[in-house]
Amino acid sequence: MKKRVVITGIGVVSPIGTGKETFWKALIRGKNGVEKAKKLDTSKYRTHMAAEVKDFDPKKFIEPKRVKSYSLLTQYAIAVVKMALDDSKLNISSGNRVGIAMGANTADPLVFAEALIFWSKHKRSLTPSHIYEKLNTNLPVVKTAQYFGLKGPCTVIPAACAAGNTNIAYAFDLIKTGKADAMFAGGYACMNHLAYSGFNKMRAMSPQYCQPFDKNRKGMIIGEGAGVILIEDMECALRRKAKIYAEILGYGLGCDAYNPAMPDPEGSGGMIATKMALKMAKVSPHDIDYINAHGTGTISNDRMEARIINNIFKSKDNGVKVSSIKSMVGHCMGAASGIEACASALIVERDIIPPNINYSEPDPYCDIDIVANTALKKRVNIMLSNAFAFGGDAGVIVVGKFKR
Amino acid sequence: MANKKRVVITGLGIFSPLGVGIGEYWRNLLKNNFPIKKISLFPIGEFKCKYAFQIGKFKFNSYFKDLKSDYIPRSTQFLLIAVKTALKDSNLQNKAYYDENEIGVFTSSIYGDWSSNEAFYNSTLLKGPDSVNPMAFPPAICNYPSNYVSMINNFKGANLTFSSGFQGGLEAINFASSLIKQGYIKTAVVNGLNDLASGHYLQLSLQKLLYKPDKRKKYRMRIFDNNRDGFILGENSSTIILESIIEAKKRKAKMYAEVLGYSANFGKNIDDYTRVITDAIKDSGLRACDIDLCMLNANGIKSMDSKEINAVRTVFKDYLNKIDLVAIKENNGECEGASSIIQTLVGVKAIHSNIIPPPVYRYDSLNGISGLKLKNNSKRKRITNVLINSFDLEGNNASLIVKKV
Repeated sequence: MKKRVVITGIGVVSPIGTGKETFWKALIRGKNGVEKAKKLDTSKYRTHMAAEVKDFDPKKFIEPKRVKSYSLLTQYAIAVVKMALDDSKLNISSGNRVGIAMGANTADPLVFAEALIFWSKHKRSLTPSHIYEKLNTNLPVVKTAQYFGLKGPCTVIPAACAAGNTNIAYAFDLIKTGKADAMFAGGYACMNHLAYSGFNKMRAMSPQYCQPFDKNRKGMIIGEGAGVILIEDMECALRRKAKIYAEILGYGLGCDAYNPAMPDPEGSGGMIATKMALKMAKVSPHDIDYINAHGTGTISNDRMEARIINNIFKSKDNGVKVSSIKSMVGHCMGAASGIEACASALIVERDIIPPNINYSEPDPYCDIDIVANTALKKRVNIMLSNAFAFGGDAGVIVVGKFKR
Repeated sequence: MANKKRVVITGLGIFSPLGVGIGEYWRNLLKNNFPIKKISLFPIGEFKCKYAFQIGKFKFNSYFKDLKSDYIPRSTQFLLIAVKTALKDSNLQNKAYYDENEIGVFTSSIYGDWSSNEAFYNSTLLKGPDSVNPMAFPPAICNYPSNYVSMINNFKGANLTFSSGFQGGLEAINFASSLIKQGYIKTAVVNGLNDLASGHYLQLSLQKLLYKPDKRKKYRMRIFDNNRDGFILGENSSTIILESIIEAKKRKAKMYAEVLGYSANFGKNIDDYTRVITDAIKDSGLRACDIDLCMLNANGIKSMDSKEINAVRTVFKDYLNKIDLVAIKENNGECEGASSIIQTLVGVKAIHSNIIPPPVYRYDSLNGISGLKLKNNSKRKRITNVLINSFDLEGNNASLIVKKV
């Protein structure tokens, strides 16, 4: 267990920009990626806003003649892996020990929807192959592994909104235990009626913007995209003189075991995950400079998370800064913590904390040290990135500045 | 190896057409039963394969008196029952034996609950958002069945769903074992889950992966038969309980077997299969000659079965007369996300009872095209080390080694 795991590549498709630098510039500028939804017909819904990806051109990442053979979700997955691979300059053809672990909420929702619409109009036995061949939950990841010729472990953990961190945790473990040398890890999601309808009906969505931890928040905004980090055995990275963004120091996993749709107000799963992450990283709460909050902008989630942060870190007393980039990119579901892991690597590398935008009036039940509306220049040695999912799954990762 | 780094299996549970609970299931497996039924859950008029290992009607409330079954999807009910039988088998029903914060739940399931997903989408897309029942949304998410297990039992450790494919169960066992070895949880409830859903059945049918009955209309998976042409789907939920050996000894638990080694890779070639088996044996610190029994992935898909046998032949070349090969999908069907957990469960029970269930194959270079000789009866043999193979259709491969404690 003495191996160390470092981040050597970043790939991101997000509502505020595709590609590491575009994403980063938008992030520290506090760009709001939320607009009226264009990819879904929201006329029958109560709300109409979404954080959609606007600048994605699959041909930049996938051979043009092959683009059509992949669903949008698979295109996102291939694109972020391609970006992370190029960024890391890793030669994957030289070994069998590079794998992938990514996840989402469900099977490919657009393919699933296409199938159901087809079945409602035609005989089921006439379903075209472009639909039935893409229905498996693991397809986007499998197709990505095939596209790049990856030979290491290929895993899909659909831990809903904690999918990114959970897959990073799993990949980290494989490297630590010597079962892989490098892993692409993260999550993906695309705009779809399953999530939009479900959260709308649960009255969890905001009609305007996403305002995490603000007293006047009105809910979450559904987003989409993909985020992947390439994590690597430090020795391998040093041997090939790779650029190292940051080190993954540990992770924590827990479960509320409370309610299928509501978080435990006490935050029991998140509390367990946070304590486990600190223990694995061998750091104390005082060592944490910044927390990238799950911060969805719903009352129940924000207050639960603030409770965890206050209980463990005493945020204001100890100067632990907190912000939620969901205020800018929306809640990208399965992609959320993958995108946030990309942000985390850059925050630790560049010592700038992105803002929690749309924040005007503090919620008295969320008494934490928010980085409000403007990015903050601050040395970030060690930070946490939180993800708390539907069903109570909690995944937390600890990211630190790389020191030899 | 230091005790703190050892993980043992202390409970087995199952809810399947072959039986409920490990006792009933094992008895029926040894009798070589194969409870195939005509599918009654949805119309199958258009398709050639009309049979499956379908779980018949059952009374959920005879297992959980206080829960309202109307609100729990069918597949989640399977899972809850399997977990209950495993907790009983491991004598973990008594909460004095564990800390709820240190029990994790790990479930391999390709879709979670396909039917709930389909039902939710149907109401949204075809009837409009107003027709949607908000409480029907959570079951449409893949991790719902696994979360429900944590919720009902108040297990607050890690909760993960693996949807990577057939081998997801072995991934779950490996990850759960790693967390136990590192001391982050003490106990893991590791599950496999597969149910019959019309859309998925259709998908497999169109992909021509399902068995077609032969001229004699005989419904039985013909694994390694020269005329084999696909698999029969199976419903199943199975559970194994993992614990650190220290905890198991402390509470004087029955120890079925120990988790020893694991490997995973990606690829559809014989070399990939050979590599994953070799790496798992290496990871366990054993040699090929130490393996007594191999739980095969074999499911009646000609190309995959042939590659697996060739890989086994390559790895065990000098010891083929020693190793027994078991293809239990013949009696369980292809249970997809649940399949590798069932294989592990049977391998572990074989270690514990020193009985190999049928169908047992032995390599015999003089016999037939595949070189395999079939024995349709169970067999007594002292078994120490078992290899479990699981290869998904898309190229995800994993192998696991378990040994006698």
